Amino acid sequence: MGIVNKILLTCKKASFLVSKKQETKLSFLEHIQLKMHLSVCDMCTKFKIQTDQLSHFIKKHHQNLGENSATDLSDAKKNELQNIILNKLQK
Amino acid sequence: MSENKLMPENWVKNYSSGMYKYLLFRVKYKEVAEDLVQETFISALNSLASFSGNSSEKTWLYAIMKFKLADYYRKHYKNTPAENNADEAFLGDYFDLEDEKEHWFDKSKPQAWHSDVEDVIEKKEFQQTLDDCVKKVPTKTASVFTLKYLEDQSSKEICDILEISEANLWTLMHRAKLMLRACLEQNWFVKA
Repeated sequence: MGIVNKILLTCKKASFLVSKKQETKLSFLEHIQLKMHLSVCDMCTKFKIQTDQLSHFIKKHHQNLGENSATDLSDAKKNELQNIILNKLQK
Repeated sequence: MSENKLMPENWVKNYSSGMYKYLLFRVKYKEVAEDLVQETFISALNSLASFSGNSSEKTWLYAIMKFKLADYYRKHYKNTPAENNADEAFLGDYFDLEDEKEHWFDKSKPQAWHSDVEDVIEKKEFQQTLDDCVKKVPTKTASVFTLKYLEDQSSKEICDILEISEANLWTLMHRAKLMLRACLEQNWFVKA
């Protein structure tokens, strides 16, 4: 039982490894532990699939926002910046 | 061969709008974005001599701006009070820590998402829901997420910018994912 308990992850730990794997390479032991857990745990498997989708949503969303941003600096601020630059250049 | 020249008197006309948009999208606050444009110009004016002419004027200015932005991210991260949730307390909302198996709670366990996941991102209402969920993520946790997905930085770069350990980064990313996943599920994919 001792060894099995060491290898079997709880959902708390397995979901952490799912996240960690999205950031870095897991150690061999972690890799095996996660694989075993996911083979029997439907919930953590969903967590894995959905957090992958989440990353995709966030990236796509940022692209959309970046393309559609319409705001600009106010003319007043532009004038202020222009004056700061000209003053500094004269010094 | 220094073919590129600096023309500071044209910076506002040529670059300020583009820089402002780039920054505003990232820092969210108008005032912060304005300040960063201004700081970039001032730093650039103070280091005109360092311009070698090998890169374009725009590349050079944007490099200074990105340096200022990284600085802002770091300060903002450091100045934000620690999110008081210790890891166990945070995870205790999702997993039954009383039980040695630490299963997902019924209320927080991932459920099947019914909507069409492929097309959903193009929907305005979904984008709004995603935005609302992102806004609920506490600042420190969100900083890490922003750097990864907005700035497309590697884990190593994020740790360098924010001066945090990799273990800390994984913890924060995991928290953000737990929160965002649950929020999207409740408000979109399995909405009652």
